[in-house]
Amino acid sequence: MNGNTVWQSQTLEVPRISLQYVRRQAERLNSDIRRELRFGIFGTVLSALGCGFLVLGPAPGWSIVGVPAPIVLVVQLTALLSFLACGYLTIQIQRRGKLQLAAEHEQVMQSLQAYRTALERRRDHYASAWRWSFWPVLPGMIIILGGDLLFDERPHKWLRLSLAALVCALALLVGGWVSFRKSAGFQREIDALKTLDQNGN
Amino acid sequence: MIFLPSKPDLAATSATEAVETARDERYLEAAALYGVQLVRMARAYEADPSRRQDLLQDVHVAIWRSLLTFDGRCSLRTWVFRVAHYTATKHMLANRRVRLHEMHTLDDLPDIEDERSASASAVEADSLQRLLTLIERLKPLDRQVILMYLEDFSAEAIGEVVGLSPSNIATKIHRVKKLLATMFHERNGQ
Repeated sequence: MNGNTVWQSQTLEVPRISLQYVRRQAERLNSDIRRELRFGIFGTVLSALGCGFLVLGPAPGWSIVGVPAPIVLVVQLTALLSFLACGYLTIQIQRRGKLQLAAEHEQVMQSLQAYRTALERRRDHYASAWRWSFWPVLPGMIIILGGDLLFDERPHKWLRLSLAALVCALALLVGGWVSFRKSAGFQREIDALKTLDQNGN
Repeated sequence: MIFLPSKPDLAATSATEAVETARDERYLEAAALYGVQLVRMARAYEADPSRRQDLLQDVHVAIWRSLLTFDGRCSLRTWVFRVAHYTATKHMLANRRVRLHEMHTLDDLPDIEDERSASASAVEADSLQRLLTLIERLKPLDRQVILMYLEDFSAEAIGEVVGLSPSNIATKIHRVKKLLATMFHERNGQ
């Protein structure tokens, strides 16, 4: 009796995995990319509705709440810019997701190397997320804060402005922090992989 | 007005269908030829039966997906085991990260505890358990090497799957043989 005999003679039940099942499971993969895309589409539709309501809405609506004309313009411009930013981000998510999927098909070279490449690609995706997702939302923020600063004559302007600026900054920080955490998680996995196969190469 | 699909569209559709059919056929061939070996491999990577079942399904899905790009430059067996070990390693890293420091290379592997059973009828099961214990303590690369050695892969085939040079593989196989000889010599001589 040797190791090969012992290994190959083990009695194991071989489960039946149908082709249909495999196909269905394969479709469920990369659900994270699809989820991000769904969020993007939802955000775009929501901002489009908001933009349509604010830009094309009837003028009497504004007069009821007594908003000065310049502020109306600022709000409408912000809504429009937010819609454009959401649309742009959704296109980016879709494009980058497609690139990732295409690359995964090409990566079956060497097992560990392939896995490392996939991890590095995902790490870089999240590490660079702030670069392609930060600037599209910036114009909208500048317009709403600048417009408020210039045209809002109501009392406690600075308090409201500070709060709005704080909310904007927090939103950006949270977005950046989430991306950074995801990127750091992938980096930790890459480091673990390095310690795992350091003897082999 | 009736719109008929143009000829290039039909050609593209039938070409896509042909590629998909070829992939399905290759997958079914691979599952029939290597299904049992894949089950054994999954056992070496995952001790928990329900998670092992998940791993095995992931392996099959990964193989099916990868076969779209299979170009025949290596054998189907090499391709299947490359993808299988890649998927299993991913699974292992995702689930056992906290215990990575407990894994060893073939060179620094401490002696396996002698757990010989008094019952003669349990010898084979005991041998298998000792073998699994040995495999579970190995780092992914060495685990791939020993598993393929146990499945009677040649050194050249192992090199193709794991991507190591023939000299590296030869060294590792020498070490694997020595470990197994020690383990089974003890067993047979008891």
